[in-house]
Amino acid sequence: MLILLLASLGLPLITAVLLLLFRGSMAADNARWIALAGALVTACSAFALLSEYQRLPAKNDIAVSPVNPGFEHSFPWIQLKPGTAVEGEPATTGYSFSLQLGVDGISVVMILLTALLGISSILISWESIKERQAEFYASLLALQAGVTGVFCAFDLVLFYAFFEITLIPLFFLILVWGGTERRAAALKFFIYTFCGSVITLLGLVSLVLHAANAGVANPSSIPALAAWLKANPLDPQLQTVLFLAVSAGFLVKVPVFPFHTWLPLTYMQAPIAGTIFASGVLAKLGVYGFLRLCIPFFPEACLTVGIPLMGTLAVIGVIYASLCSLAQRDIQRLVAYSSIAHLGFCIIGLFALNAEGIAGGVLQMVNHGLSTAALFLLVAMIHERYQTRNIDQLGGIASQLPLLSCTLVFISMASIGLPGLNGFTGEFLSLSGMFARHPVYAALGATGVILGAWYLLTMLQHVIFGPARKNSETAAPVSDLNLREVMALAPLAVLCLWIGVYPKSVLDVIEPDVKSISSLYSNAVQNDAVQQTQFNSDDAGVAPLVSHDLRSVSRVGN
Amino acid sequence: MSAIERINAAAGLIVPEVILLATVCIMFLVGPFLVTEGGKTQTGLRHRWGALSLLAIVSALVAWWNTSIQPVDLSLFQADAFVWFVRGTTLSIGVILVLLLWNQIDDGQSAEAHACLLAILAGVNLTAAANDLAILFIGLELVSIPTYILLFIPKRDRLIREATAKYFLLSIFSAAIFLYGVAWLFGAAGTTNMLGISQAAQAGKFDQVPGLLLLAQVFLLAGLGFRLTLVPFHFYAPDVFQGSTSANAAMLSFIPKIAGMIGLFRLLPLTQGLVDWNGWVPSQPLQTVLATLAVLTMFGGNLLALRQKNLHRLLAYSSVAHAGYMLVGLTVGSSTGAANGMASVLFYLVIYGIMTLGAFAVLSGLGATGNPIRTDDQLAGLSRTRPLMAASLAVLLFSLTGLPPTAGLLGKLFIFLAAWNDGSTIGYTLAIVLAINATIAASYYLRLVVVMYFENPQGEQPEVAKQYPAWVASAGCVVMVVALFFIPQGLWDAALKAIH
Repeated sequence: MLILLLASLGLPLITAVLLLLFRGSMAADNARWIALAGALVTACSAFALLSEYQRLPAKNDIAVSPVNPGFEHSFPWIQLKPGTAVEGEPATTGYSFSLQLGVDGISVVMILLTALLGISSILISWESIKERQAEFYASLLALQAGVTGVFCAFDLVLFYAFFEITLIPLFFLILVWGGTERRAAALKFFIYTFCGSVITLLGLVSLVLHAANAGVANPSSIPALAAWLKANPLDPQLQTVLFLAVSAGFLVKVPVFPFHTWLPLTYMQAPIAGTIFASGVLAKLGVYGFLRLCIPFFPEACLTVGIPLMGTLAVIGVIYASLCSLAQRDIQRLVAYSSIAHLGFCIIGLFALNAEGIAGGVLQMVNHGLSTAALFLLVAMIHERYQTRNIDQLGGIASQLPLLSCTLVFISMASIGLPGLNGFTGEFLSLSGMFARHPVYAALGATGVILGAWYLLTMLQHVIFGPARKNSETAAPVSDLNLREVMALAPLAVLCLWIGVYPKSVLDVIEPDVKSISSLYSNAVQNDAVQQTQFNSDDAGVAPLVSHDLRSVSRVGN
Repeated sequence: MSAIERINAAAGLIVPEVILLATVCIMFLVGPFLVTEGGKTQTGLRHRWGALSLLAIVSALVAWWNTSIQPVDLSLFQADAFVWFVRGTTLSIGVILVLLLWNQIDDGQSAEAHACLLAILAGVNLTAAANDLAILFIGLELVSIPTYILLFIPKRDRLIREATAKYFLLSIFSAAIFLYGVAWLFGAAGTTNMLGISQAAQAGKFDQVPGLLLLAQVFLLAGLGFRLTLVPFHFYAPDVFQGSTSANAAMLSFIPKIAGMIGLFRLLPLTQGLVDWNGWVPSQPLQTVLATLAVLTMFGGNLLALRQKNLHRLLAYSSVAHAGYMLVGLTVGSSTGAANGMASVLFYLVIYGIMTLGAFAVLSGLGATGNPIRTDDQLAGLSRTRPLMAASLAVLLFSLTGLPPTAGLLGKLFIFLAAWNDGSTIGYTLAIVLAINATIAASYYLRLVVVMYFENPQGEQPEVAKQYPAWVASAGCVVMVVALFFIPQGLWDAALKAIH
């Protein structure tokens, strides 16, 4: 298990280092093969990790801590305070940071998603990156390693370190291989997210110190800290302050409205592989941060401040970003804004703070990673063929590129949330979870689904089905998807369908962890007057809901 | 105990410094005989002197490793864990400084330059080992006086002369202020021995003259503030850095800082009657002064660095800002609890030394001997022409920013922990100001990375000069900066031990 975890984390890094070391001594085009091999092996080890994880015995200490990784291993890092008494000072219990790695159901799914997107992003860069290939793929793999690290870090300092490490390779990806405004984009992206995470660091530092002074031996270990906070809840006022501070970095990273202003420029200017990573998994780091730190650590603050604040911001984000999407003429920008809108659903789901909402949020994280990444891939493929991404200049692609058009329609449907595809399950669970908590946010959020259908269908209508535009007729004949592109898209599309028809496969993996997090809130929910009887599935977990969900899916199918 | 025995006992406490100073004497005495009257020498003489310097430092390191920690008494020197820590730091950093100096001087002057550097290192150690105010002052002057010579030796252009003169005058001025503060302290206690001063304080002598001590604190802080480049005593730094060679600027960015920090560590608790620092927290007025200086220094250094085009000036302001970060740790003192301000300062000092010297090492490794890299334009396109150097500089700049996976993150984190753990308004304010400044600093460090990786190389590329010593130094710094992120325990333990 440890070997597999280290392999998922270390293989991309080792490949990156190898690429950099032998940069000079290999033919230019070999780099991408090496990178692809590295990514494939990483994906295999991630798959193995998932299957090993599923064979682990069930956890039974849910009552102790809301976060309990099914597997963890801790390497000593730094002991800040010696455990033995120093003369002249009262004896303190030692306290330390450690390199604590582990996986739980949520992170194992995210690690697998990261590994899959790693392959796709290498394949899509195959022809488009001609310059400094070794460095490009090395940065990409380093980014992948950093993201994987966040998902398997169970120590706060390590979590923060990985969270920050991801900035560096993406910064270089944008700066060196980005579009024309890459300099501004790279700096804006970096400084903006760095600001946010420094505030997060302040919050984490004060939390760790609070625990350390109370005598927790390893105050930066996430499971230990969560257990301690569950047993000794913080003062509500302190909780609120810490919640807001810790959230700052995640709000920027997701991004939640109004902290999204760095995103369009970054997504537009980054090389396509960078955009895929940024939208597919980097954005999830923010959501994951909420899920891993804010929700288990500060239950009271989440209930009093979290729900109204995040609910409002997420709803505004969903509607605002959808309207922005509607107004875009550039498909990539349209997808970028739609990405903000869909992440709003994740936040809505998480801050429903009940089992189905959180399960929906996590599922939506996966779905969004798959469908947005696939959309960006398709946009890049269209751009490669027509040298434009402007909706007005494109049209009638269906007649020229049937396969690509078909995939685009399929993925758009998944993104819209057509029942039977993955988007539906995630959005449905998120919204119904939120409905049990606060119907208003759910109702307002649901308009985003309609708006989502509107802008994506409008885009499809113009690009795919409209009359063929002149410039696309006069341009050199274009060819449909080649094998490489199919390979990049296929895993994502297949998973979209798979999760759509059989979401239980993912839900089963994440269920124990979702339940242990939501158990913190279940008492509060039962007292909640708003609770609706038909959604009374908090204690029963997500399983009944899934079957309900499946029934509706099959109804639509028939 | 006879006088000779006492001298022997005292010398036994400073063996590493004796080794260094003996080498200095050899270099000063032999050096002139190897140069003809016309100033001609055998080519390559600098390699031999450099090797001798390294040998001396390595022998001093061996001697340092064998020293034992002894209780403080009334003798002239002491050998506590703090001295052990300082010696280790200075000597290890000294290796980097020797490597940097290696090719930055002409053969004819190499003996003097290396001798000055060794004397400076010995001076820093003596400052730490001093158990007497007079010795401490002598130690500080043993740092300053060779520095004037070292700065003037290259005498390539007008800028260097201006820089040296400026440093010389201001340094003497600050030494005078410092001495004035020492005089007040002596006046209050009636002795110059540190243990004696502490005993006098415990006997209640200080309570009779509270105003005197505040004056002493202010003057000491002002005098040492010059060395630490605290705002508003920082004005000389950018000009002097700009005028100096990379090696000298590197030396200036670290040596005066550690010397000044040692002074503050030894003297500020002493003005409160303490020789050991367990639980030492600056007295209320002193803490206010230190906190104000820290805030001014952080903001001053970082904001002024934003617009600099000259790399030495930029790094000078960056060194000002880093002095501010360290002052944060000193302000919260060594309160008992989860984190220790003074230990975090010592930890940061070492990390800071490695990363700043690494940055200077890259700069001197890039330039030819007579044609150093001066402005940020010269870094343009470095990632294409010299990818390895560009990557090294990027790592060091990320470390200065405080990003993982470099030790810079841990350095800032520990100061952060200490400041926040203080629990007072001052502690929280300082931690927040530190966070804001880390972000400001990120923008100018990143700008250099952007120049290296974004812009195209300009004009003709000069030939790659074979600056092996600087390359070795920069590679060593990069490795250390990353390694200390993963295995910081040893350094942290040493720092923590030095405080107790």
